[in-house]
Amino acid sequence: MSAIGELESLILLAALRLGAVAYGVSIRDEIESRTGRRLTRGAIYTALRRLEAKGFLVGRLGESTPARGGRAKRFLTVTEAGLKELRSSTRDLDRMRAGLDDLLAET
Amino acid sequence: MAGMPSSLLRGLLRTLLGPDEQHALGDLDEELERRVQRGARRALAELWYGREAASLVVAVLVGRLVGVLSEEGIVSGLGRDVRHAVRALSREVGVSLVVAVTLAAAIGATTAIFAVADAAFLRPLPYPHADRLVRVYSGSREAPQAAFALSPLDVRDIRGADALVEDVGVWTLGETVHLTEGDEPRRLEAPRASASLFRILGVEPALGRFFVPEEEVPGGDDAVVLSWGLWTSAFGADREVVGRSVRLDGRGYRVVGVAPPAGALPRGAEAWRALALGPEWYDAGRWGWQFLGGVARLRPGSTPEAAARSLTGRLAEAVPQRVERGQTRVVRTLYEERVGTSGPAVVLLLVAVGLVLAMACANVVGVMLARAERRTRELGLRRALGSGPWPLVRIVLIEGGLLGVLGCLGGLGLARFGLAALTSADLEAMRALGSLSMDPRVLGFAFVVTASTVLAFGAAPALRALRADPQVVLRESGLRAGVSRRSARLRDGLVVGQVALACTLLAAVGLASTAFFRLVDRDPGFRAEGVLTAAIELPAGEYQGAEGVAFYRALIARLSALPGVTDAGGVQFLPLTGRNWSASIELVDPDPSVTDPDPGGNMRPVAPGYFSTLGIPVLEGRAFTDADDDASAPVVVVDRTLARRYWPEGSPVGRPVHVGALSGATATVVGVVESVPDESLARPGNGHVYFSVLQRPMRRMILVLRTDGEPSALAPGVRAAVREADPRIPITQVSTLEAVVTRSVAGPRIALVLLIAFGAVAVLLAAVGIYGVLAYAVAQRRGEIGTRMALGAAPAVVLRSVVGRAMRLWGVGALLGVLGALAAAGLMPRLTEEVHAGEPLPYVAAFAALAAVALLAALLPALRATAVDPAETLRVE
Repeated sequence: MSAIGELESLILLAALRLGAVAYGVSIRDEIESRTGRRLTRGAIYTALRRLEAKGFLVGRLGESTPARGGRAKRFLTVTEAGLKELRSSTRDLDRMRAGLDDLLAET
Repeated sequence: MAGMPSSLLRGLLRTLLGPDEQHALGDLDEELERRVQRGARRALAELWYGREAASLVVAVLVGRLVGVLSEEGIVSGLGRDVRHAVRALSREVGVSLVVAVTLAAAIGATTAIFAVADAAFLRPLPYPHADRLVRVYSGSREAPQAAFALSPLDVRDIRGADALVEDVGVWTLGETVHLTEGDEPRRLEAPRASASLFRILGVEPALGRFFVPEEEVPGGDDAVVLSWGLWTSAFGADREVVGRSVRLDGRGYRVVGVAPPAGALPRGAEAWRALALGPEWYDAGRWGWQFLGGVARLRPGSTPEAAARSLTGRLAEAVPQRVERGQTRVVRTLYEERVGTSGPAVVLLLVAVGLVLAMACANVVGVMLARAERRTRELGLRRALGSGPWPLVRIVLIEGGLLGVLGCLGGLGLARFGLAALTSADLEAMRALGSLSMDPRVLGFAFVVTASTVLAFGAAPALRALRADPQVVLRESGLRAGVSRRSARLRDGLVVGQVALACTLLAAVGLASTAFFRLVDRDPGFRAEGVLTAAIELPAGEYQGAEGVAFYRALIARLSALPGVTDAGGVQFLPLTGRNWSASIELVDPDPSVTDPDPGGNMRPVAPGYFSTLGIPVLEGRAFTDADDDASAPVVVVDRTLARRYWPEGSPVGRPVHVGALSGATATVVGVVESVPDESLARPGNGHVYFSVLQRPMRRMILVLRTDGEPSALAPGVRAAVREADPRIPITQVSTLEAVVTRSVAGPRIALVLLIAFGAVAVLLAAVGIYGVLAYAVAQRRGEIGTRMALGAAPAVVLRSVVGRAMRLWGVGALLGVLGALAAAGLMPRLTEEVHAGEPLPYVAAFAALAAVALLAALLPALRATAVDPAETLRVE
C-alpha cells in the first residue's frame, strides 16, 4: 500500500471536482481558487507523475489545439484505486480529528 | 511571443520531456497566453515564464534521476545495465583494457604525487592558528638566506618582544642519549626543551603533562617527556609510565608525560628532557654559543618580515655592536619551513601529472567516441524501438563508471606501490615529510579525480547517445556528417603533442638510464658484497685511553672469532654516506712541488682489519696491525688521492707527517690504499688519512664484518658480541654494505624511476592517442572505404592510407620531441661524469621506438579498414 501525501490528496480531490475537464492548468487553478495555495509547476508535474505511476490517475490526450503551441491537453481521471485511496486517507483524517472540533474550529 | 531566455528554456524542456509529456509544455504555454491576454506586462510575463519553466526543468531532472535509479527498482534495473555494460566492454576487451590501463596510470601518478604534495605542504599543520607559528633564527646580513641557531643570550633578547605573543619555545640541537630499558640499550634523539615549547605550539600531552618552570632550574631538570613513538615501542604503550624512572646516559629521569603522535617539535625527537640554563650561559662572552632551535607565535596581524625587522631592531638597542657586525634575526613560518626547497619541484611534478591526466582524458574521450561511433547503430536501433534517450545515457555512463572503477582501483594500487617505493628509498627529503600513506585525504582525492575523469570522458559519448537520431541511424546512409574538420584537426594536434612529449621523455629516460647504469657500474674501490655493518656508540666519558684500546682490541677479536666471519674491523664513517671529518695535516718535509698552503684531508679512524674486510687494496707498504697501538709509534695510512696530491714525486711510505687528529707526535706513513668515494659514486673522495683506533680510541664506530655467506645472518652474533663486551652499548644502523651503496644512489634511482614511469605513461598515451584518432577515422570513413574498395582499390591502398596517417602523426610529433629534448639538453650539456647530453643514441632510440609504437597503434584500425565489406557498403548506399 502506498499512502498519499497532502499535495497528492489535494490534486486527486481537485480532479474529482473538475471531472472531465481536469488537466494540469485547471487542477492548479482549482486548488488555488479554493485554498489560495499556488503550487509550483514542478510540484504539480512531479505529483501528477507519481499519481499516474501509482495508478490513482489515468491520462488521455485531448485534441491538439493551436492555442497551446500545438500541444494537446492531457486530461486526467481519478481511477477506482485513486478513489479508494482518497476515501481511506480522508477517513483517517476524520477519525483523527473527531472530538477536536473545538480546538480546530476556525475563528 | 516569448523572448530569448524563454525560448531557450522551452527548447530545453522540449528535449527533456518525453514524447508523451509534451502536454506539460502546452500547459505552460496556455497559462502564458492567458496572462498576456489579461494584459500582463511583457517583461513580467517573461519573468513569470522563466520561473515556471525553471521549476519544471528542476522537477523533470529530479524525476529523471529518481527514475534512472528506481524506475524498475534500483537493483534489477541497475544490475541489468551493469551486466549489459560488462558485456559491451568485454566485447572489446582490448579497447576496454587500454582505457582502464590509461586511467590507472594517470590516476595512480596523480594520486601518488598528490600524496607527496599533501604531506609536503597542503595538509594543515596540527596546531591551533598554525599560520602564526614561526621559527626564529639568528641571521647574517652577508648571507640573507642563511639561518643559524640561537644562543641563550639571543633567546633572552627575543623573549617578550612586541611582535610575538608571550614566550619563545626552545630546544637543544642534535643531542643523543643512551636509554637503558629492556634488553638492549637504545640511542635516542633526546633534545632538552623549555617548558614553553609545547605551550607555544598549543599541543596537549597524550598522557601526564609537559614541563613546569620548577624543572627549568639546574638540579630540577631530571624530567623527561616521551614521544608517542618511543612510548609505544620501548614502553609498550604502558599508561602507568608517568611517574616511572628511566635511565638516560646513566642518569635517572622521571617520566612526566607522553607527547601526542603528531605535532611535536623538533621532528625526529624521541624524548624531551627539561632544559635548565644556569646563569653562566648569560655571560656576555657567550653570544656565539648557538645551540638552540626556537619557535614563537606571532601577534595577530604581524608578518614574519615585520617581526624579523622588529627583532633585529630590538637587538640593535640591546647590543648595538652585534648588529653593526652584521647579526640579524630571521623569522620563517612553520609552513614556509615545511615546504623548504622541495616546493617548486613538487609543484612542477603536480603540473606534469596534471598534464598527463588531461592527456589521458583526451585519449579516453577519443577511444570512447570511436566506440560510440561503432555503437551508433545499436543505440539508434534501441531508440527506434521506443527506448527514450535517458536509459541510453545511463548505459553509456555506467560503462564509463565501470571503466573508471577499474582505472581507480588500478590507480590506487599503482599509487600505493609508488608511495611504498618512495618511502623505502629512505631519502633525506622524503623523511622530512613524515609518513606517506593512502590516508583518507589521498583516497578522497583519488575518488574526486576518478569521478571528474569519468564525467569528462563519459560526457561526450553520453551526449552522442542523446543525439542519436533513430531515423538517420536506421537509414545508415547518414554518414554522420557531424564531425567537423576542426575537431578532427584538434585531435590530430593533441596526438602530435603527445607523441612529442613521449619522445622527449624517452630521450630523457635514455640519457638518465645510461648515466645511472654507468654510475652503478663504477668501481667504488671496495667490495660491498658479503659485508655487514653496525654502528656502536660507547657510553659518554668512558673508555678513554688505554681502556678504549683494550676495548676495541677485545671487541674486534671477538667479532673475528664469530662463526662465518672471515674478516672484521671498524671505521668511523663508511664510504658513500657523505659523513666526514676533515682536518689539517702538516707535511713535515714537503716535496718542493707541493704548494698547498693548508694541506688537509678526511680523517678516518679505523680498527685494524678494515681494509681487508672491505677489500680495499693496499697499493704500497702495509695496512694497520694489532701492534700499531698506543704503546707504539703513531702511524697513518693514506689513500691514493692524498698520496698523489702531497707526494707526487715518490712514495709517501716512510715519510713523516703531523696529524693533529691523531696525536701531538709526528706520525709515519706506513701504507697507501686505493681511494674510495665519500659521498657519491659520481665523485672521487677528497683524500683520506687513516689512523688506528688502537692509537686513538673513538666513541662512535661502525663495525664491519665480512663473510662468505649471507651477511645479514651475522647480525645476532654481532649483537651478542657487543652485549658481552658491554651491555650498555646501543647498536644502530645494522645493514649490509650493499644496502649502504644502494642508498647512496637512491636519489638518482628515484629520479630515474619517476622518469621511466612518466615516459611509459607518455608512450602509452601516445599509442592510445594514435589508435584513437585512427580508429575514429576508420569508423567515420567506413562508407567511403567500402565505396573505394568496391571501385577496385586494393586492400594495400587502404592499409597505406591508414598507416600513412599514423606515420604523419609520428613524424611530426617525434621530430618536435627530439628538437625539444635537444633544446632541453642544451641547457645542461654535461649531465654527469659518464654521460654527455649530446650523445646521439638516446635520441635516435626514442625516435625509432616511437615509430614502432605508432605502427603498432595503427595496426588494428588498419586491419579493420581493410575488413570493410564493399558489398555491404553498396547495399547500404
